[in-house]
Amino acid sequence: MVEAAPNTEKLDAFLQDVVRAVKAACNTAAPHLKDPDLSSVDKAIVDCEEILDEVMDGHVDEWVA
Amino acid sequence: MFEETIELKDIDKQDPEYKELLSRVLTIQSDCEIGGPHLYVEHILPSAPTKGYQVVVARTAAEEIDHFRKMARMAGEIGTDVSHVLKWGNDQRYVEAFRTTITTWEDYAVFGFLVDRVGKFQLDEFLDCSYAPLDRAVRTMEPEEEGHIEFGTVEAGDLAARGGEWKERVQKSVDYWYVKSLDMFGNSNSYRSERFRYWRLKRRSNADARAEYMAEVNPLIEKMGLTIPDPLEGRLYL
Repeated sequence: MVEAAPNTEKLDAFLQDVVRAVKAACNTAAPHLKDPDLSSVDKAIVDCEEILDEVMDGHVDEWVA
Repeated sequence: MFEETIELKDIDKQDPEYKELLSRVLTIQSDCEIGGPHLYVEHILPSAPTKGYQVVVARTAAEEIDHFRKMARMAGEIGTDVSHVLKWGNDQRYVEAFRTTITTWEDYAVFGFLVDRVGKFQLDEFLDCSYAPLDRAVRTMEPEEEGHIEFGTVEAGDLAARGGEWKERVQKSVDYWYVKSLDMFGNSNSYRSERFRYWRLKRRSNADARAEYMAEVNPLIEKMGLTIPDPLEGRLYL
C-alpha cells in the first residue's frame, strides 16, 4: 500500500472544520438579511472573514502541529 | 487506451507514468481550487455590494476550499503533498489566470461566468476517469461549481443590462477573462494531454475542450449584448 504524504489526515481535518465553520456562519446570516437589525449578519460576516483570512495566510505548519 | 478502473489500493501496481500524471493533475487541480479564493477573499468579501452578496462570496470561498480539500486528500493518499500551494502567493500559481487579484465586483461576476465555467469543464474531464476516487469526488463538487457559474452568469448579465458605464466595465472584464479562460485549456498540441487521454485521466483533447467551451460561452456573451473578444489576441497557448 502506498504511503500517504505527511499530515494528509490533519490537513483534511483542519480544512473540514474551516468549511463547516464558514458554511455555518453563512447559514446563520442568510435568514436575517432582510431584518431591520443586521447585527447578527454583520457578526457572521466578520466570522467568515476571520476564518477565511486564516486560510489565505497559509500557515499550514501551525494547522497540522 | 487504458481500460482499467483503479482504486487507491491498486496504485502501487500502476505504471510509473500513470502515477506521475495522476499526481500532476491532482496537484494542478488543487492549486486551481485554492487559487480562486486567493483572488477575491481579500478585496471582494469586505466590499461586495450588499451583505447578501458578502455571504455569497464567503460561501463560494468555503466551497472552493472544500474542493481543494478533496483534491489535496486524494493527492496525499497517493503520497503527493500539495500543501505548498496553500502557502503560495498569487504570482506563483501553476495556471496563469490565477496570477492576479480581483478588486471589482464586475470582475468577480465575470470570473464566475467565464473562469468557473472552465473549472467545470476541467472537472468534467474526470467523469468516468480511470481513477475511481477522482470520479467519485468530482461528482460531489460539480453541483457547487454549477452554482458559482450560475451566480456569475446572472450577475454579469444584470450588470451589463444596466447599460452605459456598467456595460463598458463588464465588457472590459470579459475582454480580460475570456482570453485567460481560453488559455486555461492549454496547448492544442500538448503531448502530455494525449498521455492523459491514453490513461483515461482526461476525456477530451485540449483543443476539443476549448472549442466546446467557446460554443457554450460565445452565445451567452452575445445574449448579454456584449462583443465576443478576439479569441487569438493576447493568448499564451494556442
